[in-house]
Amino acid sequence: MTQAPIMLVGMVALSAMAPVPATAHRVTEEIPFTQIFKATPVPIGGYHTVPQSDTVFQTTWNVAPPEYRGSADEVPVETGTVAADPLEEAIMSRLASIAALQDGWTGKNSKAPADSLVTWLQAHRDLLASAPHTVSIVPASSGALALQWEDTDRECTAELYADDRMMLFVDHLDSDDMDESTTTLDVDVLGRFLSTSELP
Amino acid sequence: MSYASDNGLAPLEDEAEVLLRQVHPLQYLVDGKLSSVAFYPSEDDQGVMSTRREAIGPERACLDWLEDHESAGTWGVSVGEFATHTVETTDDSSLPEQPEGHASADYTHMAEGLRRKKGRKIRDHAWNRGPLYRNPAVSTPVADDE
Repeated sequence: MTQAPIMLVGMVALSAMAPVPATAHRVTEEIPFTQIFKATPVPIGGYHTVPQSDTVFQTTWNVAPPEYRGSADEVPVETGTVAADPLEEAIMSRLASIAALQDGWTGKNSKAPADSLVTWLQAHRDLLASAPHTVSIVPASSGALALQWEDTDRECTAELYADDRMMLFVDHLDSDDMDESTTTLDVDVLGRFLSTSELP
Repeated sequence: MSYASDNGLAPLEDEAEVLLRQVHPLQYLVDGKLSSVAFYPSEDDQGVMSTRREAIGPERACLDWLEDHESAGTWGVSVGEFATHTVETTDDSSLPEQPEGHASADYTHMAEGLRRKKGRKIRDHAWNRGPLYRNPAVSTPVADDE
């Protein structure tokens, strides 16, 4: 996970605190960030066994804020805790569980998803986290990774295969209609499908 | 031609019999419902989906499966419900390597898209019936309407 978004969140949280005098600037580039993983698993977005990760932020002032009356050598240090993106963490945790599967995991002919496929989805986890619907990641016995979500009267599935193939399905729940399309594994096509629930 | 006739077997006829299906913990959706992925076979399964017959019992079916695999629990779909979706079911426990009371659901005559459509509908039957046995060692999300 990159730290840039966390920095922004920390800065936004701080900006809601004391007003910043014109002559004082937060030294944001010097903020140390530390990931603290709590021991107790908590359910996040329906996923289980996800460690909750918070980000501790700390900031100092290069000039003491005007309300400060203490020593110039002891300008205040503000600390706080900002939650990391729990959904992205839940996705990574789920993918880690899937990566641990072995061939035969759900029957003698079943295949575990290829490491390259899991890695590809890890790299594009932001697509899932930002989708307008809650997207489930489900391994299939074929070795595919199925992304599934419901959109009103449709159940949508994107099956991703390690051979650079993607099968997209829209199951109309109130009829016998089933739309399907097969494409190459393409992040833009997948992103549009996740956003619109419409086949390319 | 069908899986049953290809193997010299007879289809199951008691429409009330509930066949037992194991669901892997990773084949639950985020909202705690079952994924349709657990209810249709892949090409590598030769187009048939494994179940156990009702007489085995949902707890034993799960415990047997846990000897070599993972399962969050046993779910059920009746012979009649499979038949509604043109999925023929067959006791194939006489075939090599099949355990006692094994039955297969035959999707061999369907194209890929139709398998998924039928799998979703068959999932709905299992979901509406509810879990027949839950593996107490596995925690899965609980759906709002469960």
